[in-house]
Amino acid sequence: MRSKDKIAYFYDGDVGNVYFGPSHPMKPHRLCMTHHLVLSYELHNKMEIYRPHKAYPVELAQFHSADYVEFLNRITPDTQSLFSNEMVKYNLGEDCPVFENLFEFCQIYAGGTIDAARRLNNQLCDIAINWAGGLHHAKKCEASGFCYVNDLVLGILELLKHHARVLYIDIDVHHGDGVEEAFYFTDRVMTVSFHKYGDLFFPGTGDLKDVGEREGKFYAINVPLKDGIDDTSFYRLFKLVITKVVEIYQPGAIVLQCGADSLAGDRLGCFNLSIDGHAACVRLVKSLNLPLLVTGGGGYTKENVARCWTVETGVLLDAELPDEIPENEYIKYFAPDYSLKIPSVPMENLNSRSYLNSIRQQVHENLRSIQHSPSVQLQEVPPDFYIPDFDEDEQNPDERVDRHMKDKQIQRDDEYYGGDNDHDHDHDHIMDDA
Amino acid sequence: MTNKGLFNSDDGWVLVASASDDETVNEEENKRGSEDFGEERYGVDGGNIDGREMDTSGVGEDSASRKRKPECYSGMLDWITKVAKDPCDPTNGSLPERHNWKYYGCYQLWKQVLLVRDAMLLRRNADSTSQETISQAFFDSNDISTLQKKQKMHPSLYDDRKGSERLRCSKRLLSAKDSFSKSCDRIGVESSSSGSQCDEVCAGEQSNSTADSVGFAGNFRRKKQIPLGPLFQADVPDFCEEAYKIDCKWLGTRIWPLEKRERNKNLIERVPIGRGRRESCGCQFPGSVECVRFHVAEKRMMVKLELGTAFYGWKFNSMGEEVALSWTKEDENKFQDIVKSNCLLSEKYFWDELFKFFPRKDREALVNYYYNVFLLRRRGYQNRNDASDIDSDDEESEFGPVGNRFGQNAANSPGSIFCSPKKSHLNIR
Repeated sequence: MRSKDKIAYFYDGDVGNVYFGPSHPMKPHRLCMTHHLVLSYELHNKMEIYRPHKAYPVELAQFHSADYVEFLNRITPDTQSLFSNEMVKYNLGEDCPVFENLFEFCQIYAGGTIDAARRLNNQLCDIAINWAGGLHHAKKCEASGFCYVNDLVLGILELLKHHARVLYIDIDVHHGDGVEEAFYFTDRVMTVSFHKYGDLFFPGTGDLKDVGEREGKFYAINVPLKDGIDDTSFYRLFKLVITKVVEIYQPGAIVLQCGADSLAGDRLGCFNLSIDGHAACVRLVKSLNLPLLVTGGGGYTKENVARCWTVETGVLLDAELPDEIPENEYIKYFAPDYSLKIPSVPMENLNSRSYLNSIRQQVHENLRSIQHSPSVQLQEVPPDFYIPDFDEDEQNPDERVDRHMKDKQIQRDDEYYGGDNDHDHDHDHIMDDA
Repeated sequence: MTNKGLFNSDDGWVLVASASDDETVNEEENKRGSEDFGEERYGVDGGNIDGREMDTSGVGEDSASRKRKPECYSGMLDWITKVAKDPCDPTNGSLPERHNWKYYGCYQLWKQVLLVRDAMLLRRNADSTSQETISQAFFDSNDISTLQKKQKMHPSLYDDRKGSERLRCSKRLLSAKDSFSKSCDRIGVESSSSGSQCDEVCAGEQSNSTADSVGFAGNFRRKKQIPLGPLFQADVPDFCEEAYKIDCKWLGTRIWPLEKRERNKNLIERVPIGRGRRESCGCQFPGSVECVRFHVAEKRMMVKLELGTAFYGWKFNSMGEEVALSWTKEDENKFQDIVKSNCLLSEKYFWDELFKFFPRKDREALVNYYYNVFLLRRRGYQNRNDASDIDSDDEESEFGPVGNRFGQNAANSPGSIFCSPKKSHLNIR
């Protein structure tokens, strides 16, 4: 483990007053609150803080179509009624309203991620943070799900100039569809998304079976989850998947989207993660000791967003933060406890063990397929990973093997669960081994 | 009634049919011979579902029955709810083998479910309402395999599609109950012979239509397709091994730590990182409004001294309740009045009124005041009065339905990221 990671943090004071519209759940003001909270814990004294340059249209067009970028640049709330066809074409107007300073907002958050990637490429820092970024739904030619410009794709394209392979991890409650779609055909980017899937939850993609196409086949991993997943289940699965992915894929850099709508009590989300559970994932990725670009994303209960990203800034800085929030301009938002902890929500976890186990198995199965891919330069993987103990062909196909036996053949009883199968109560120290 | 007779499969399939309002299926009924199943409980004898009269003419017989009223689906939906509540209940029964589906009439509830699902995924025209199409599905065919054959397309056909034909991320949310999709999951999982055919079946063109964001699990998943082609994927160049050219431009402007020449010479008490809130302060009434105000102001002063120019770079000078200092009392009162008086009107949004009444204040100043003074004060008030159930993001209850500045209701569109099926309070009123 490296002794001290150098952190670059990006923030622009102009984001605070960006306003999507009345009652729109996306509130960039949360970035203002986060920054304030980070400062109130004195974390600015452990890192360098930069104001990003505002990304130029030509930079945005490295991914997006030129006409879409141009339209974003020109459209205003006053003129949008004159361009109803284009508004439909670019999916603007409903989830993605046109508001004052929309383009400037896009330039700021995209500029932050691009600058972060460049700093990493130039090895000027080990970890770069841009909480304003992470808008993972934006597509090449249209806006989607409150996202207009996909800063993550732009940042990854920048990282690809210096690294052969980049790993993208997304823990937002929504599927990272924009990033996955952008890199669906390539093996130079592996996208891994943990998200709610089903019940017509937005955006509707992110099926376990979506693994990529052509050269990108098996370089997209989707972990579809159901409502109510808790810290223990989520972290276990996250750790198992990510450590395996990094071992096999060996990326040069990692981009981590930390959408805070996977927290309990989020206005649009439906998971039951605590801030500690969410931050444990960040801690794990940091421990991989690879150049790391961290962004924000969703998060629609702004006090919890501020809490979460402050804690995670602390995690990235190896600073343990006390729960009691120090005085700051926004202290009132954190009533009644003025604590970094968020109240837990009594919620049923609809993700059964067998369900999670089957997902994990399928992901491992898919990962096996890229073991032998010649285009990705990999080390030889130790054989005991994927040679099963038994030979499936020699088994008698007519003889029924009960499910437990079958599972055992693929995975030891205690590989997923610590010890016996039915441990329900041992979550106390689950985060400690990160 | 297009009764094609039943196939009594050898693998012990059990008929699932709604006998009556309570919709329980007996073992005894299941053991009857195939002919008996022709006496369909559901619909033919006019069994009332939820007290409403069923259209008993049978599917397909009468063109007038094409447009079904919504009530006629309630039996199916009730059945699905029951299955969803207890999927392991043996009385639910199970699906027959896929190749046998065509033998069953759509008086079977499971068959209805499958047909509805197909119809919703088949829809190509924005013109047809989901209602019509579902009716159409019932009318057109009891033969699911025919429907599915029509849809089979290989994903590679999408490669050269023009932009206007691409599969778009639809915005309409299915208005069916949540349990609908859950029980379809169950149906999908139960049947074993789905094969890989379904994976190749594409949902087809979907304009502003419902039900494209389907989450049906199991082997029949007709999932939302990922669009492929030059309009969707990024251009990823091959990796060159040459040394990366160090590009010193556009790396961001350092704001903190301050440049050497700017370093603050003031003596500032260095607070240890992550100290958190102090246990006790020296105030006479700790925790009172004055105590809080004092400590926040004190902290603000320290931050200002420490940050120097960064304080202004980060716009800290326009944060917090101090923003109100640049507003007159009269303006503040007016702001409050406007917000309060407009919050319950469905068409008017207080922002329009604010913009109108404060022509000299720009939008940024108004938003700034809103977040830094108005909301904070409101939170302060709420904190002291009823701290148990407050949410400064909950504008719906006070500020009317979701929409943008021009009053367009975003949440009217199903499939919107706004609409979370579980969070009904966010959906349109």
